[in-house]
Amino acid sequence: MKVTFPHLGSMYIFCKAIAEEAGIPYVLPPPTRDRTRELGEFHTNESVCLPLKIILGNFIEALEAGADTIVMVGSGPPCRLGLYDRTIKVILSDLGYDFRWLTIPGIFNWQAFLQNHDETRELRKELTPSNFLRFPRAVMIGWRKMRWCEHLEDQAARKRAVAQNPLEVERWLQSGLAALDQARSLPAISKVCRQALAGLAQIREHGRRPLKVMMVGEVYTVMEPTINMNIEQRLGHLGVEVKRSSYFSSHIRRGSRLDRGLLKERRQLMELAVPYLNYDVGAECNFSVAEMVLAKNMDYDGVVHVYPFSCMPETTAASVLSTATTELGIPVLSLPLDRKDMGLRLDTQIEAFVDIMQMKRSGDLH
Amino acid sequence: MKVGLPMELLSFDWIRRLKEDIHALAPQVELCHVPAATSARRPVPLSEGDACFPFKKMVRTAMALLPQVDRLVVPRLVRLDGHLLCPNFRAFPDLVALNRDRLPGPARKIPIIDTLVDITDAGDEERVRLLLLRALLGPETAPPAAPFPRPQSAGHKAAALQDKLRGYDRTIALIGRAYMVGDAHLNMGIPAILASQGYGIVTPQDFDFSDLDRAAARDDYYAKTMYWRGARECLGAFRHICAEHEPAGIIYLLSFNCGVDALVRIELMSLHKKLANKIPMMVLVGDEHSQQEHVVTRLEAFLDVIDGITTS
Ligand code: SF4
Ligand code: SF4
Repeated sequence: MKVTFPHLGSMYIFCKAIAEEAGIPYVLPPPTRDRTRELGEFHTNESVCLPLKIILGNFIEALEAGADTIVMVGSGPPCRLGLYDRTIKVILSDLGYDFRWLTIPGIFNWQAFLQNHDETRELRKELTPSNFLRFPRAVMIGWRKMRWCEHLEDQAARKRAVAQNPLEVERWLQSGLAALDQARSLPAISKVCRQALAGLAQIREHGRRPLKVMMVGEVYTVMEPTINMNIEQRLGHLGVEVKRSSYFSSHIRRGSRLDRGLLKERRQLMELAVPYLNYDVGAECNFSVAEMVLAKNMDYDGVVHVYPFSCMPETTAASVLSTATTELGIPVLSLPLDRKDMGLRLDTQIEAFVDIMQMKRSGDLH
Repeated sequence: MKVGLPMELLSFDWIRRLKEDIHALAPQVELCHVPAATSARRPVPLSEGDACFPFKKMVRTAMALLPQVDRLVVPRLVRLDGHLLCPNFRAFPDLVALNRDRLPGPARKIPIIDTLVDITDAGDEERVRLLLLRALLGPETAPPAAPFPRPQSAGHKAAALQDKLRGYDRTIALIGRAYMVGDAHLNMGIPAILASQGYGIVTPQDFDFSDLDRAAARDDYYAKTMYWRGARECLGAFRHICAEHEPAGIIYLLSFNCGVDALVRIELMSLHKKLANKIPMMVLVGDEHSQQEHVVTRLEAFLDVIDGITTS
């Protein structure tokens, strides 16, 4: 058995650590690149959302590299996320790949339990008692790595906006993430991350107050730089601190429904969206709207709304944000993303957006 | 009283039955589905971004109806027959309301009836029907004497289909969601073109949804149920029509940027590959800017393929 999983955001660090620590053989798909995206595009159609295309590309590359068991976190209705696994299975089977599939339920119910039981029937036979015994520690290590990874990324986003040389931030972040990936124990994880944080802290700052934006939108697009065209970095290098609305760990905590604080926070956010949306549209739609209200309440300078072209809930959110921006008086940049050659256009849009936020802050724009 | 009910919603059986109810209970109500031709400029909607054309069309119809009616009915369609509608329908009344609030003049004050429609069984149907009728006609409205008419029976639909196909010796399955197939603008005149070439047309809407639902269930497993009603209609129709009607060809008519169609298309192409008898299949993607000539050319080429197969 050789398991594989999508190469997305901090999620892959989590999955890789679990496989490694539990002694389960795995194949890590190559980092998402042009070929990954092209494979996904070629085997789907123009109206399929970008995260599905990229995950499909990841899986094809992993299967080509020898993986035989695909593990993926599932989700539910009403948008397409809940059917990603079903659709990808159809495509891979039609392409003639031989693979087994395991969906980690994103929503825990009886059907999900039965599906899981069925999907793991064969896999369980191949796992040894040692794999099972090591599993709890593996999950703990994976979880700790993911949380640290997100913390490092968060700190890097803050520092990028104020660093005299933002490229130093990228250097410390990349070396920190690489060391984190290699660390094999909880103390080692803490140690390498504290080193990376110390490295980030000693970077010289220019002393200007950075612009602050909230990045909201579809989860994968917010979290994965290859999908969002590195928007966090592009903004950071223009002196903008980006606060992300989504992290993989918060999605897992939400899905497990164990963290009551988080659930309460989500309920409160839903309330914030009510002047605009009176019903849960699905995925992150209402939260994108709510987080814009929150950004206004917290005196952010703007909101960047990222989503894949053809995303149903976020297209709705974009319409709502286009009204809310005038009502609330906070600039919004809505970016439907799909093509890989959007970089230059993005830079132009972002520069104009930064100008608007700066003018607004200096009182030249009302 | 003039009541607006956008024409696009009439493609749903449930809404058509509601319309019959309104006629029966309040004959004085004049229902308007299509905005009257007017010299006034149509209101410009909020940024629609890259929304699919059917949804844009729905929002634009609702907005154009607003200045011409006393009330607008845009129910929040969440679930029908136990299956979900696409997320756009959940936000439809909110987007119409946000647009309305920006209109000049009295149209801004027109009440919007946005009753939540979440129907799995007959009990839900009765409850939601009464809620909506009371929201529209007043809280005193008595429940209609007749039970909510059930969808036409399978037998009735079968007879109607037989009538429809009488005189044609070849048929084409035109698969698509109800508003794509039924709306003359969205279907780009395909039914008329096919009929003019001597083809009878079978659509998912010619069958009882429960039959299509059963056929679609063959591809479900555990939590991985195809949860959109429109998708089940298309998947079920593909299986059902191919098995029972031996069409000369299959056309899947979908909308550019439709999230539901994007996934159904993948499943239909996969099912098509597995068909024992190779029925020609074509996917036609309609969008706001599709030109009739392109559609005619595609159809001509497709019919040539069918002719080639049937005469070889
Ligand atoms: S939220 Fe949008 S991009 Fe994500 S699965 Fe749903 S439709 Fe696709
Ligand atoms: S089902 Fe497709 S065409 Fe219909 S509203 Fe949803 S996205 Fe648009």
